[in-house]
Amino acid sequence: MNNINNLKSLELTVGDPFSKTARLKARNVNVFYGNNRAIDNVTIDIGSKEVISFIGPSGCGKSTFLRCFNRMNDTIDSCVVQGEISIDDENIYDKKIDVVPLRARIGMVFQKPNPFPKSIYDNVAYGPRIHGLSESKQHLDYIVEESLKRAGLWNEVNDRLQSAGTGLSGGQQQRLCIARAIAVSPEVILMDEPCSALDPIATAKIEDLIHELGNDYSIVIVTHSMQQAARVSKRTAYFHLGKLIEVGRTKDIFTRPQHNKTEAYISGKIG
Amino acid sequence: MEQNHISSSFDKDLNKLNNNLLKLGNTALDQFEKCINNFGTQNLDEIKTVINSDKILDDLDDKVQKAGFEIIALRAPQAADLRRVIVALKIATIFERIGDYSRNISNRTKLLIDLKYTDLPGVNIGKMGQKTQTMFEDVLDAYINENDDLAVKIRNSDVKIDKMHTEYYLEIISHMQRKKNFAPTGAHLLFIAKNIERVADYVTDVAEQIYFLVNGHVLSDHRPKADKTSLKIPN
Amino acid sequence: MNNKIITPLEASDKVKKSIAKRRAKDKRLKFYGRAAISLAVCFLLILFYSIFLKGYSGFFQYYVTLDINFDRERIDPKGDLSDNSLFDGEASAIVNESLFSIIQPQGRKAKKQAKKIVSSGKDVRITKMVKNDPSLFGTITKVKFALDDDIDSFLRGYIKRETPESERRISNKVIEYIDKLNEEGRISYEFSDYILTGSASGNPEMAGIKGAFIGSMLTLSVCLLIAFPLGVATAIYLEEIAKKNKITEFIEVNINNLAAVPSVVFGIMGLAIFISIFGMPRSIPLVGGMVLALMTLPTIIISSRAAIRAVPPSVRDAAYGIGASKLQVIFHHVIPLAMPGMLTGTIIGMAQALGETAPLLMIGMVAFIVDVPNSVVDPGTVLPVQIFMWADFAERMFIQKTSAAIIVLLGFLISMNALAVYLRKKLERRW
Repeated sequence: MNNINNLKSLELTVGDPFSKTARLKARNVNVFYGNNRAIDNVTIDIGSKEVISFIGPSGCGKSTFLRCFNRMNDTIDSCVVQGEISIDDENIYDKKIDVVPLRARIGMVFQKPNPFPKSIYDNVAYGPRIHGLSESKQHLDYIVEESLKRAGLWNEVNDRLQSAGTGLSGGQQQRLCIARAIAVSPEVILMDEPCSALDPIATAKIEDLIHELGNDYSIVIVTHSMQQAARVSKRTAYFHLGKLIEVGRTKDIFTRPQHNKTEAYISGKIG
Repeated sequence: MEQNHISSSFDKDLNKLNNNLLKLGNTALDQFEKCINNFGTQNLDEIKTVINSDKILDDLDDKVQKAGFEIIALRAPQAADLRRVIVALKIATIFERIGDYSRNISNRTKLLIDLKYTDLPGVNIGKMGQKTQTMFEDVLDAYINENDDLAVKIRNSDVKIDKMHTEYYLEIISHMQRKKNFAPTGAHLLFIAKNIERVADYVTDVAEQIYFLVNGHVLSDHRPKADKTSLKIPN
Repeated sequence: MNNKIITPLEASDKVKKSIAKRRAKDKRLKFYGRAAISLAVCFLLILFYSIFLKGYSGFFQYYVTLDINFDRERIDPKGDLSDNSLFDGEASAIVNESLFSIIQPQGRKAKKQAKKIVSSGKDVRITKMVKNDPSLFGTITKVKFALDDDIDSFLRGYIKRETPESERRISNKVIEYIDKLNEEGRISYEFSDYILTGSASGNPEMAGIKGAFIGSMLTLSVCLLIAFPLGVATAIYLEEIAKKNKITEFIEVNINNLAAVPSVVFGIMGLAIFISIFGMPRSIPLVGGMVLALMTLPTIIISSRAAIRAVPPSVRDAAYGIGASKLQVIFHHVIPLAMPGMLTGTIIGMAQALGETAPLLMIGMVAFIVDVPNSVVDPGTVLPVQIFMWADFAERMFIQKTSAAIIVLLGFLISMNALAVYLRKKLERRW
């Protein structure tokens, strides 16, 4: 007999962590800060052209896990990553892999908007310049314009491209950072709580933008607001104390989660 | 819907919900119109079509329920958005039930054809049906335009249908008392009249929901009632 | 003691009672602060006032105006304006003749004393003038000559008439002649054209700081060219590239200690290593610059490291995130943002180096050099050392000139520090 509390409480990940169109594959990933284990044996696929969000209480390791995908954890001395993360079946933690082009394929947008202290144009053009993506000045202009258009910022700044990027409002700065990430034509964009420093209107604009970008890029977004995950993503992964508890379609996670821990978090019973 | 949400996908979801609801409403209206017509024309094929088409209404109702449920879970709608979604869910159920009544009326009409029923003066099912149909059309109009004045008008006109129902009820009962073998026919007629009256009540429910949708609170005064059939004992 | 929760009413009451004490404390603190600053400003004002007072007069000296007959045959016997010809000429005699025509000394002794009135550089002045402007030949033109330093001191009032002649440096006869020149209005007190354009000289009236100034500039240039790139590169390496382990900690401690080492020690080191072991010549700005560079390096390294550390990690994250390599992050992002701090530290270090005397004395930049150094390998001296040397000389006029040189030095120090502040304000970028 089934009742409403027929929820699983297994130790394994519930739901469907795999994806048929997987671009990024994480297998048995463990992350340690010194002796502390921050991520415990996580396996998940990131599909092509989808928006997937990582949710969970503070300290559950979702940001740490996100940063594994573009090896930003390399900049932290005490951090050790075990396991395999591969893009197109190439393990990105292999010694032979150069981290610089990797980060052009997998871009990142941070919690606090951090445009370079340069002009708006130079902010967006920096990536294409250092990676040698543009063939001529006109081509570079084109890349900058397209990226700003896709980030929904072109109409607001096209008459002042030479003014400082830091002179924009918070929401505009974050969109500038998104444009900067898009300018190098990534396949995946990682977003670490991109709206947590913004007001509700700016947040709503960025969420709308993310929804649109999901048609062209794979987007992984870490958020501490599960309502944001509900609004923005097609797939949701719930993390708890470093473990991946449940992965599934957002609709299902929020209307009928399968794991009791997920249910408890979604309905506000645990922090 | 007036102003768009910043999140265009939220607008998309709300529009999907609304479109399915209107489809459901228009189909239910269509079904009702046909079943009233078929009572007059007694066209068996048409009647069968109406009975078989009831499934469509069930499917549409499922769609609306699912869409509304997801919007509440994923969007946490507030204020007018919340009222719209809740009202849409309630109205969908009502339309689906109206569809059920249309099917019942069609079934009974089939039986009346077998019983070779022609006409009973003083009992104009067609007129009652048409008046109800007009209320139904108006209520769909009121929903699309979010017109609460029209909704109040519709709600107040339910009393006319009630009066008609009481009148026809008495007439049919007295005829059944005079001619004993009229009883089966009369019974079906009674049910059909009752069903139409129920449809009118449901339409009035929808009107009250529309008022709540627009104003955020229910109509305060009581609905005028004139259905005395459960109160009077005919002699 | 009863422990109980204080009600809001009680709390606000207690706060009110304590407020008077707290306000009084604030007031006292403010007063102490203001008093300390006022005291410091007072001392500063006194310092500047006394220096300025003494040194102001060093920029001026006394001149005598004489009518000079620019006789070509006598001045330039060979007629080709060559140094040889001018050397053989009688420019001095012409000047003396003009002087004598006014004061008319009688007798050999008087004439001898009269010859000393005008500064011994008179012939150089004449020959320089004709070299610049040969059209002067054949004219009689008024020329201003500096007066001998004793006359100058007398005119300023340091040598008094009242002193008995045997104790005075100038005789009564000379005083008579001076008075005569004064009556004719030929003596004037003007801005010295020697102090800034002349080099070191035994004659105070002709002494100037030009040589020392050029020497300072050359030495500082060498110091800057060595210390700045080296210091900045070290700071970048220690902050960004080197792993944090015992070795880097050890290096950091040593650098911090070096900043506190007395500068004369660097001079001794320069003497021992650059001059004795490497065999470089003494007294040249190149060696001086190298010694000063060693001394300034710790300052530059420490301030550059602080500037680099002040760059927020969000800028680095953004740069790494877009796929910049470590070197690109350093050169495109960290250094431009840290540059104001680095420049400020460098300029302050240079200002310190400008005023250093002891290490340069140790490596011998104290020679009496008359010629202005033309390159970093010509012997030279620096401003503070020049001041140090002049302070030793006996002549009274050197006192004024020394104070004037101090004013020039202080002026440079202040403007360098002002430049540091201006640059810092201008280049500061907000992130």
